[in-house]
Amino acid sequence: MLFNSFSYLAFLVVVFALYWTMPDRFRRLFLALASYVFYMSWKPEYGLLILALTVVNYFLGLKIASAMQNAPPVESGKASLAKKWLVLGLVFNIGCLCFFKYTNFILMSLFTAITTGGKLAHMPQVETWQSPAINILLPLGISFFTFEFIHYIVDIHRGSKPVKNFLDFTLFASFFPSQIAGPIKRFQDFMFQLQEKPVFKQAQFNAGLYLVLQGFFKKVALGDNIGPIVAQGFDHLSTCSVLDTWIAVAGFGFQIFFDFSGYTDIGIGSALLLGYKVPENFNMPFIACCLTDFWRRWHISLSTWLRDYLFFPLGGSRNGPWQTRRNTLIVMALGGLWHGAAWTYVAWGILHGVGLVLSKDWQTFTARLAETNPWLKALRATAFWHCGGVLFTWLFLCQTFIVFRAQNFGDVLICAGKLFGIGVAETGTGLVTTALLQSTLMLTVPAYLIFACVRYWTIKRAKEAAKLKALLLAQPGADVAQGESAQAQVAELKATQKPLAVEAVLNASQKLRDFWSESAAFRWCSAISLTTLISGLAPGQLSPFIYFQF
Amino acid sequence: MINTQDKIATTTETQTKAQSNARHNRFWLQMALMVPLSIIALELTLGALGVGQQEIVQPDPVLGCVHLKDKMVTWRLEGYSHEKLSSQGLRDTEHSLVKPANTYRIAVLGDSSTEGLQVSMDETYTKRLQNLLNQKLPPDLAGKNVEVINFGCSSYSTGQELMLFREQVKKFAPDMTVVLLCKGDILENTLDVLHPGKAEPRPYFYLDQTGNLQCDNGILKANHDKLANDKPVNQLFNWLRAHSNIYGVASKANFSLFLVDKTYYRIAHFIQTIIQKASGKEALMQPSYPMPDKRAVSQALISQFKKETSAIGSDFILMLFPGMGLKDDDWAQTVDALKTQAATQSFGFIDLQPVIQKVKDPNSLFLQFHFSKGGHEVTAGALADYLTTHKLNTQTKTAQ
Repeated sequence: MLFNSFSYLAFLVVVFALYWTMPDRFRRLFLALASYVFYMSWKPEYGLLILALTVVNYFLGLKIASAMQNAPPVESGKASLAKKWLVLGLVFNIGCLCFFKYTNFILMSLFTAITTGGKLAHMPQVETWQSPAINILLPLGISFFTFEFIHYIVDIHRGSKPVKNFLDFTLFASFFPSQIAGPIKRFQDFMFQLQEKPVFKQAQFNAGLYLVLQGFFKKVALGDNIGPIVAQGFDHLSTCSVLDTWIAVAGFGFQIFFDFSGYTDIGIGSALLLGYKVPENFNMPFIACCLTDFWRRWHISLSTWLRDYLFFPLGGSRNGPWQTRRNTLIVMALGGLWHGAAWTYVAWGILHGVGLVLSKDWQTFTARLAETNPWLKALRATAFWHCGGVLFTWLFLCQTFIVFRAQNFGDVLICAGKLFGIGVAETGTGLVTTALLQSTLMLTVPAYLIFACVRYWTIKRAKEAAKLKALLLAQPGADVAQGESAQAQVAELKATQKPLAVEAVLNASQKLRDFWSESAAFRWCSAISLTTLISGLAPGQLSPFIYFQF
Repeated sequence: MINTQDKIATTTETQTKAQSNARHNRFWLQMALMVPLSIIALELTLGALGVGQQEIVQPDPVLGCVHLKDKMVTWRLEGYSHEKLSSQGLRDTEHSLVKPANTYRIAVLGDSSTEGLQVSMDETYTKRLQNLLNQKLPPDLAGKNVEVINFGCSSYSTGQELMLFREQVKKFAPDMTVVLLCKGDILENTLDVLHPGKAEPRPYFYLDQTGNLQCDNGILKANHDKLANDKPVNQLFNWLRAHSNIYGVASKANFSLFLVDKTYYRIAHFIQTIIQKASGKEALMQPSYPMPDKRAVSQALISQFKKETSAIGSDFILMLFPGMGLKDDDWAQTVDALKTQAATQSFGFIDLQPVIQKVKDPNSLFLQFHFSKGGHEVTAGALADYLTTHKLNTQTKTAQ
């Protein structure tokens, strides 16, 4: 049951209607059952797997907590029991992930290494060896929910209280809006919401409906239409012109963003419709001014998980710059491997690791230089410097997207070369360019990007205005704007004012947002119109989400 | 004496009720304004994007379906094109019914492969053929102008093409009639008598006990309510097909979801069954003839084509769409049978399979199921070669 299918839409409507009409005491059980129905709609066996993992981690959590309680950590000898349970839990979860996801990768890597060695050593018998790959089912979403389980048992060991109610834990582990491809939840936030008992709030419903629609638009109208154009380029690399290659590579960046953030929007929106909040995963990643900024905006729930459960345990940035660089590289390489069982993903992770190290060193270097050089200091504060950073980051990301998308390293080299005119056939077919020009994307992508930017600035401005209002009200005598501090704040407000045309657009956007909140008629009309538009823009075939393979 | 508390409660209740009524009134007033506005905005947006413009045919009680007229079509299902169907409902430019003087007119019939919505009109093999012939006229056509008219229509069988020839093509008085036959046409010419309920509404053909070709209109009659052009509901839907992009989107979504989404299929099927039962219509009448011999029926249709084209003095060429690399013994036998028939009955015959095999990369001649630009180019070349190397009948014909 893909999020972008009619089946899911029907499922969500039925779950939503039953959930809010049934008595509160049945809701958790109902939601857990619905989540199992959702997950088992792919393969019924999946239900058993997640149930088994849930049961084991539930008891592990209780065992760790009990060992912690009976033997306080200060007494090192006794505390080791909790640690043993934790290690057992980590081995179990990582073992499950490795078994299902990496067995064939390990076997094939060893096989390739041995047969290559054999060929080099002129051993003809290696040619006759059979591939050791075995048929293992890769359960959907396993990378995501094992990370949630690891977070759970580690946090219990760090002192958080375990979940005593098995139904609550089952719901946390199987919650369908975030089950297959995140966002990776934190159990403390989720349990807090369960204890609060979600109630129906109109504002939350409006926000959820908006996100579901936005997610559908991103995935179906944008991502799924970019997909065939990108495939056209990567499947016919030998005949691609320079422009074709750039469109295919940049297109893949947009495809994966629209695909994954579309999925996340539908997930977060569905959760909001049921009264729950799950973490944000994206925050306009392509306006990042450096790679560090990019990872604060892209797949946020994964990057924060890697920070908390891998980077920090490795020592983080506490032990000097070289150890920080080493830790960054390890974290990013493993983060790459997490995405998929292939060396291209590891290479992608390492590239990002190196990029992060260099980006951070560059920032430090220019900041230090700017201390003594006023010209550089002024330059660093300009929009030009910022935009340069955005452009450079984007170009770097394009290079890394090639590694992420290409089938093998040979294709990576061909594609990277073609971006700069190396190895371009004299008669480039222009297939990719033609496909792009004939698609609806020439209008829909710019329209969506303008909409997203206007919305981003509208929300940012509303937040700033609310903050300023709160500050002004907090000032004594601020109601007449006489206080010195209040005047300074007003001056700051004036300083942040934009040109009249921009202000007019932002004002109109704000009014539209207010109207969306106020008018049910507007919500229904725009929701139905947008659904019709999305249906029209949908390509003929249903495409699964890219991140489902991870 | 009225209790004060009761009075307050009653007043509050009245106020709440009044507020609720006002809210409802406001909602419906806003809806009354916004629904038409949304429809207009959506039609304009879809139009600007070229979305919802893939409706190309409307139901017809005789032919099953016919092209819409003057319809702007933006095709993205396979390949791309953005052009208007002509005022005569042709996937072609305008052609006068009366043949201009000194003109050799070629009518081409076929299904979606001839219609060629996957490429622009100028790239279809019919237009390319016209250009090729006018650039280098065959000896028999010296001093003449060649006009090629594309009568291809998606989903048409040979039987429908024969009926189209009688209904429309004859009026254009073609000097030559070309039929492009695809493998699927052989199946579509006859009814699967064991499963008539699954049949598309179109005329089907069979051979009677004496071997004469007969038309079975049973499915068309059973669907008469949906196909009749004089019913106001059907007229409304036909108008929407021709003018509304929203209708186009809904139609496409219905079709795709019916094929790919199990839940949608089940719901739609359930609703259809209920409607069918509620309408109390009798089940489809079982055909009174046995399962027809598909190849024999198709050959009989081709013979009829030859007979009727000859009757108006038009040359006839049968062209076979290439099999796409799949080995099919039955089709190979059909090709042989048709080749023999062409020799016996003296009509033109072009099998495109050997032609495409001479091309360096035959796969490049196809998109998914239909010709790419290259495929149309090769087909036009094959037809032009044939016309250049064979004797043509150039006597002037009159419109029927």
